[in-house]
Formats: sequence, C-alpha cells, structure tokens
Amino acid sequence: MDYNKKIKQRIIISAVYAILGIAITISANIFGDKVNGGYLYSLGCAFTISGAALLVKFIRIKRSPELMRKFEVSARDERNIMIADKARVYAFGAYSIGAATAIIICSIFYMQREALIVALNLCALVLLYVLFSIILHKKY
Amino acid sequence: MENRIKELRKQKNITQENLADALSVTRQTIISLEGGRYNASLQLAYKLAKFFGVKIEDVFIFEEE
Repeated sequence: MDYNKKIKQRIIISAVYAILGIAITISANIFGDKVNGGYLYSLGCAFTISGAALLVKFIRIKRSPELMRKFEVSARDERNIMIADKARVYAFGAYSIGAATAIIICSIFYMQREALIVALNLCALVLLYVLFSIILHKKY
Repeated sequence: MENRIKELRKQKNITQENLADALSVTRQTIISLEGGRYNASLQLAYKLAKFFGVKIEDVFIFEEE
C-alpha cells in the first residue's frame, strides 16, 4: 500500500470535512430560523474543528519523513489493527444494547415515534451486519 | 501462548525499540508480545524467528489447551 497516496487522500478528506463544516455553520446562521438551527450549528462546528485538526495533523505527517515512517508503521502494525477491529466489535455490541434499552424506555413512556426511529436504526445495523457477514464468508 | 522473545532479545543485546524497527511494528507490540498479552500472527512469528535466526518453535512455546 502506498502510504504517501493514503496521506494525500486523508488530507483531501479532512479538507472536505472542514469545508463542509463551514458550509453547515453558515447555513445554520442563514436558515437557523426555518430549521433546527442549534443542532445544525453544533454539527457544523464539530465538522469544522475536527476537519481542521485532522488537516493540520496529516499535513505535518506529510512534511516530516520521521512522522511519515511512524504513521506507516502504526498503520501496518497488526496489534493496532486487531485493537481497532475489537473496538469496533465492542462498539457494535454496546450500541445494540443501548439502542434496545432506548426502544424499551421509549415504549414505556409512549414515545412511539422515537422508539420507531431507534428500532429502524437498529434493524439497519443488524441487516448491514448480516450482509457484510455473507460477503466476507464468500470472500474468505 | 508463552514466548522467549525477551530472552532472545537480551541475548542479542538489542532494545525493544530496535526490535520494533527491525520488524516494522510499534514498540507497544513488542511490549505486549513479551508480556504475553498478545499473540503474534503467523507472519510476525516468521519475521521474529528469522530475525533471531531460530525456528518458530524456539521462539513460541505451544501449549495444548
């Protein structure tokens, strides 16, 4: 894998995030009265700050051969890959339990609309899991 | 799975950092391997054995469950 290319891709993605964040923040200021401006503004700020921070980080890595080497080693390191995979598995499990709890609580308090949204979200997640399992079983 | 990485590394008189650099892994991976908290993949096990100039079974001690 060409990590120079990978860093360039990440710089572009970070820049897109930051630009998108700025656009959302401006939109929240303009259309804030018509839509839920508060949420939109928070989302825009989060995108801008995280995008800008990542952009600075990846530009620094690209400019320094030592940081580039460390990035490459860290990205290829099998323990790091295993930890990232495990973290995703735990996150999936924790999210599923959290969502199931939210559905039960929403149902108890007659918040049917909220319960339905969370339930649909959970169903989509499970369906995606099944779909990717089938694809990966065929691949390996 | 137990291993003799620390012992072999000390025999060669190299640091964890040197070993990590030679194998293109992070120092944390070497620390975890030596501490027995992480088991190396087949590829890394081969790299380790090759680096120390021994067989895989001389680095890793296989225990039947």
